[in-house]
Amino acid sequence: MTPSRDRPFIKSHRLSVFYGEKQALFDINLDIHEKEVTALIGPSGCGKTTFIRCLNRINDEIALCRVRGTVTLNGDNIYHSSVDVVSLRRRVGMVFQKPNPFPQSIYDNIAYGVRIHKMYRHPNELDAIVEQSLKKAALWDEVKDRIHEPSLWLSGGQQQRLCIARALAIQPEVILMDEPCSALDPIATARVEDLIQELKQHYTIIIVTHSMQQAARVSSRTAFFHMGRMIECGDTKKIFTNPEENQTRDYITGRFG
Amino acid sequence: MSSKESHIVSAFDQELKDLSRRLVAMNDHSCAMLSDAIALLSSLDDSKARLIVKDDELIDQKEEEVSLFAVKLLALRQPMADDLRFIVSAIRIASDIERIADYASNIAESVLYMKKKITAPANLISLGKATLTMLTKTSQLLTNPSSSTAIHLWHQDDEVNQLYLSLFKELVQQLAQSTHEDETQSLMQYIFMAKTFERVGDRITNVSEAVYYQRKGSSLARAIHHDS
Repeated sequence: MTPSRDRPFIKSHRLSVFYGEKQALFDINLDIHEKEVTALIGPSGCGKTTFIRCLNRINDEIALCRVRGTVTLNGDNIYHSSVDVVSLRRRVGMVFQKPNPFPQSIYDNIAYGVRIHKMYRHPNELDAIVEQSLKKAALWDEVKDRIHEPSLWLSGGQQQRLCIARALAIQPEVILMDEPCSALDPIATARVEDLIQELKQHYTIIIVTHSMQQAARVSSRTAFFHMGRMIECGDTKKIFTNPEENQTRDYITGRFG
Repeated sequence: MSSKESHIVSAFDQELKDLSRRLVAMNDHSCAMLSDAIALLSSLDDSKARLIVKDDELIDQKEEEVSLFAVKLLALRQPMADDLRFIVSAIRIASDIERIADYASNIAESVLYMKKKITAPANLISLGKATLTMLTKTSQLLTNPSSSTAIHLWHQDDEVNQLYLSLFKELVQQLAQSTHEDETQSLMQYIFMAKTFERVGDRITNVSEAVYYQRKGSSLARAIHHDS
């Protein structure tokens, strides 16, 4: 057993989320292991996106949203009153469903967070961070001659990798991906999946996906959510060949609803 | 929420049923061939033997059809969990059934090779009938797959193995006493046939294991080893 299995990197304990009167998550206990890819699957509205949005506290931005229970990141309770959410979000980066680059140059997109967090001393250092981040996101070779061009000139797949590069630039420990390929064609999807395999050596990744095949391909652990509850979590191989719960089986085999 | 049997894509339900029906039909066909091969041991009729050998081509064709159909379902439906296990098992099962039909054909060929048609040993016919009983039950198992029936069928092979071992000893003794060359050659063919029937039993254990895996998602051999 690896050390990361003994002590989960992220641990949610009895995590419940309410949007006003409506309860969206019910007592979620989920362990996320370090430097592994964990996939969250389940029908729309099951709470998987709500769950990952708790991990960098962007649910805090929703006025009616209330969170109960605890989430620890490497042992620290991220909902403790002393936690600075800006530095939390530096540790836990996020990539969204639709590529959302800022309407700026490729360079400035990557440099944005680095500047905010004052993570460099000299302009050369910033250049190096931009280059490294684009390389890590497997985009450098495609854009190195035009990094000062508008990011919106890139294709959808390139824009998504730019968003991943932007997340990587501020050296996060965790990357949350909310259906990162749903707006991409199969080739761009394959590039992002290939990238995820590279990234998991250095980052803990949690991916929400509607593609069962994608979850099966990229993750080592999978959790199935349904109606705000976590029904089953286990090794991806087991979940997709022989799930324990009938609800999981019905969902992944297309017998749902 | 209770577990549901039907898929949202109803065409997939039909395809899975179709795959199951094709396996049962293939097995029924190999049952008929094995039954003919056993009857052949009494008649030792070369023309009937040739019919069995010819029949084997049909099973080969059916196996190919089942495999292509299963591959098509894997590609188009991208099945998961029990659906995935069912389709992958079906490919294995079709291959085992095809081999069983080959064995029936091998027995017919052995009859054709005999220069002197000496009466088949009664115990060889008993051995053949024991495998035929197993194969008939295989059709039932494929029609109504269940892990307990799979285990039961798997254990029936023990009886076939015992019959084979005692028959083998009997035939070796007869062989030692045989002085006539053609008779020796025919006895050798009966020894080969005994071994062939024994292999039919082995193939049926493979089918049992595949059905068990399809139902439970785990290994039958491991389950039996664990219990003993």
